[in-house]
Amino acid sequence: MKKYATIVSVLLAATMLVSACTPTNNAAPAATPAAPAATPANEPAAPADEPGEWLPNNGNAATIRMSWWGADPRHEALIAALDLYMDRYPHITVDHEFGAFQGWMDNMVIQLAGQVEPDIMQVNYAWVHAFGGGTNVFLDLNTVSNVLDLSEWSPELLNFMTTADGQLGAVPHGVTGRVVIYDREMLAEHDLSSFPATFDEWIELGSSVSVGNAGLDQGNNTYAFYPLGPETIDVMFLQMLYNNTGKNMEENGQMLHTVEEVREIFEIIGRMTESGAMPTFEQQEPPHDATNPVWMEGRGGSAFEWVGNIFLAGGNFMENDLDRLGIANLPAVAPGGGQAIMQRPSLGHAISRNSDYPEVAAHLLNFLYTDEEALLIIAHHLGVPFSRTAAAIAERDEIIQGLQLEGVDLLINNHGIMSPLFEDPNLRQPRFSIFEAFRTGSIDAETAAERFLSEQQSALDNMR
Amino acid sequence: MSTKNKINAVVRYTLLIAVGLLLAYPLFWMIGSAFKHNADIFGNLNILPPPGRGTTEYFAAAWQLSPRNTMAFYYWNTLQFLIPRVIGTVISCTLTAYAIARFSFPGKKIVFTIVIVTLLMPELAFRIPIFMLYRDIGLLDTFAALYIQEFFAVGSFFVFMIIQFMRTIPRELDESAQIDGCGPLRTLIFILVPILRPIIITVGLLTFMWGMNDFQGPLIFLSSPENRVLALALRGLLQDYDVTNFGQIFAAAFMALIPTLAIFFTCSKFFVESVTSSGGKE
Amino acid sequence: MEQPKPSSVSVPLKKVKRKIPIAPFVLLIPWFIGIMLFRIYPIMMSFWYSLRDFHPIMGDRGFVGLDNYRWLLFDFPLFWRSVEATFRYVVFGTPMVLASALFIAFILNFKLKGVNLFRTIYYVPSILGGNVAVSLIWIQLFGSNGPVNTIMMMMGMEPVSWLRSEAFAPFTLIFLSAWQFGSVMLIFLAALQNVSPSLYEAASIDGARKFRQFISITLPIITPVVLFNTVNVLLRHFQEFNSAFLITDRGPNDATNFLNILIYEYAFRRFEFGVASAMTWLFLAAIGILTLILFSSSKHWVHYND
Repeated sequence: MKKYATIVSVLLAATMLVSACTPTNNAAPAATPAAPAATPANEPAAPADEPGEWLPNNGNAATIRMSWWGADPRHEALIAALDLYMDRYPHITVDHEFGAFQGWMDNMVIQLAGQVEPDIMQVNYAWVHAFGGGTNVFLDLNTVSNVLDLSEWSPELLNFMTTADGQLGAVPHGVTGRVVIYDREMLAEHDLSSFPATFDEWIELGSSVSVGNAGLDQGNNTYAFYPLGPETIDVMFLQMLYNNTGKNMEENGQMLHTVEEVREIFEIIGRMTESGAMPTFEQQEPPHDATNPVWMEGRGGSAFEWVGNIFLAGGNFMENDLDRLGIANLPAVAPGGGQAIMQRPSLGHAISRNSDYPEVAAHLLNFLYTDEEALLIIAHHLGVPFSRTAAAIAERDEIIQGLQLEGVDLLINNHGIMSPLFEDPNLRQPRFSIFEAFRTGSIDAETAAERFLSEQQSALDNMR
Repeated sequence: MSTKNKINAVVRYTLLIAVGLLLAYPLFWMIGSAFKHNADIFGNLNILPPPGRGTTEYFAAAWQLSPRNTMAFYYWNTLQFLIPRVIGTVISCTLTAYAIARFSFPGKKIVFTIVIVTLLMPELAFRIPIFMLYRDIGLLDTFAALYIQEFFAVGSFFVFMIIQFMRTIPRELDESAQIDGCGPLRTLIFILVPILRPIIITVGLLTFMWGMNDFQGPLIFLSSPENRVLALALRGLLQDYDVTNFGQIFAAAFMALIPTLAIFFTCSKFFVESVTSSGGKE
Repeated sequence: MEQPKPSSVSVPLKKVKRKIPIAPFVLLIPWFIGIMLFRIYPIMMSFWYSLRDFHPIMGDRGFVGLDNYRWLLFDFPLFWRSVEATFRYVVFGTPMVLASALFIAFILNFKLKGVNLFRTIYYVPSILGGNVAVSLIWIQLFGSNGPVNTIMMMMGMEPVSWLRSEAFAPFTLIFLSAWQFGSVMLIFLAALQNVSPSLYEAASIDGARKFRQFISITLPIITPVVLFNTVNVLLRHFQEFNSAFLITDRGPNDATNFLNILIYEYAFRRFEFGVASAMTWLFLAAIGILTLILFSSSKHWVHYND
């Protein structure tokens, strides 16, 4: 029963999230009431395509390419789903290309610039908006809505992927946010029954966990929190800022925070490091992902990861010792403070403007999002689905389970809004530089806060 | 030999051997670590794994360099641009060097100056317009993008190297050939090329080995995983969620260097000599 | 750009004067096409781009005059940070490579048995150094728990963060460059072997005096080769890409964000072709000026005896 309720609320959360994010709406965390999104969530999905009724490319042979990033399980699942499609439509050949997430954006931008991109691309939410500086660089999916059933998504969710020029750049697969994955044994060793609820408690735990750490990580250090990459600190920082002030990073191209508000968060990050709760910049060596030995050897304490990545990070923890892991929300900045989780559409799928067979591509997408057999193969390997048919099947077959389900629960109960610009490289790169400068000690919290506001503002100004 | 000289010799040999060990250590450490588990790699200087703890399991994992493709696939992709690149470089640079070194003609000084100036210019300076050029003629994401220009003697360094070598060949040789009725091309092929053999082989080998190291070119011009070459696939190891053993990284690095090392040691005689002579005469 | 004195071409060829030959022009056809298509056309286009706001995805957004240059020089601190990082690498790396190469060449130049073996072994890093595989090894070698820190601790020193500290990260890359001194060394060695032994085998003298003799007598003779190697090594350092991209990922705090990487970033990650091309031209100008300085100063310290 719980699963059923979960999926329904997932869909509701999606619409809430979106309606709260319209530019004019000044949303306070956790204040938005359950929006009147009346999308019928649990209606059985209509069979999307009946073979014979409409044949892609009029039954003539065609070859298309699809690309995605991810880890092995996703590759295997998607390849199997594509094979299924080719069995069903033998005259269509689908080539595929895939790789790891890091570097994927670089590669895709090069393909777009060179006009050699695949017909179907897995894309990140931010890319839909960033690559074209607000205008759509992909095929407007409204033009293939005869083949791709857009009613699978709530209008609000589609709105996320709609660029400033009114085109639908991609269809979203789901909604995601980051949650804490923690080591239960670390808590037990320090006589805690639950994960710290505030940063002060987290820091306190951190200073006892890190007793005996060496200056550099020589393979023995332990931490209460280990960021698995620069993105971790970025999302954490913005979420803390949001929860502490009720203000998003930017609105209508204006930074909203004061230097004091930003400095306070920098100071907390500083205390996290000083106490040893979190590694210093120098203690944190590559690889900056879940293959980092500190995390793999169970010395990291906790990580802050996308809900969709829980099994990926968990799989590398002590050789997949999932029983040792728990899921929690990011602690509050102050006792009783907001604990909203900043959320955004997880990955989406776009079609190339230069595709020779846009309708075939749309048809394949529709298949991947609506065909029951395909959806069962894909299961949770693309994350938690939010489109109607996929969500209904996920619910029916209890596809979302365990830690991931706990993560989804947290997302739903603590929905927060992420600025659509937060992952834009033009804004993100300066933030990364400031975090790095602060963490290496070359600037103090005050300077960091000033630079944060002024550099983000000038990046915003340059965008218009 | 006096005692003093003997001491001097001992000092020199010690120094040379010490430097040699220092230079070789990273490579031996890499090879040794490919046979180790994570726990045995760091915190000590040992090259060999602890007794009884060595393993070859990471070679199999490293051979499967990406989820779908083995190292063989990436070697093959690399060769697909390297072999044409070697052929193009050797032929076009020899022709160009021949024209410059063996003929006097108006504008020769300008030609040579351009060769030297382009020698000083970084490849990156040309990359943006060439990217657009290749896009317009459909060469992006093909191996041709990585070798087509080498057929047009853009490798100024090699042109320069061959010129230097040709200068050491007496001109009387080709003059007498011409008197015997050989045209310029026949003179080049039948008289000069046999003598140029060591430098031509060197140019070919250097093109090959530098090509193995080429990373920026593939990064820009090859974008689909189907066309990924070894350098890009190796970099993928740094980013792969599924690579959790350092042994695997070392094994992959080792295997990636084997072709270069093998070629180097079989032909080292050739090009240690040739490289030595390339800069010798200014 | 002024011609940087290619001394080798000035030797006139003693060929019987006759009418203009056709053969060299035919032979130069591929070269000519190559130079036009892959060198001159791109460099002109690059200048054209540098005056525009050009983006291959979003299109050409028009002529902007010198705005790109102005922005780089006056409103873009990262550019100067990158210039600083590049120069630091060049200034420390070049002498380190040249000095180790010259020193080893000096030692190998004594008539020792096994010189060939040493030459070969020392040369190996030069051909491997740029390989991505070596960068992977370097990350591990210089990791906080890697062999380099292990040695330092054995010698009673504190381990340092070779990859993540602003002070040390550039040197991790400089050491990788120095590791590849072999090819430079070979060229020095060849030059030394050409120096007539009569000049300094006058008496058997001890090492220290031999070294002084080397500095005062031998070195001046091989200054043309010193110039050649200096230019080569300098250019190689200016253009470094792989190691900083892969080992330190441009950090920390952009301490290893070399110009070549910054240009790549703006050209092929952000596709701001205008800015990237302007940066390319500034980069070329810097290289050009430095090379000119080197060549024109060479009148004072390079001795040609032919």
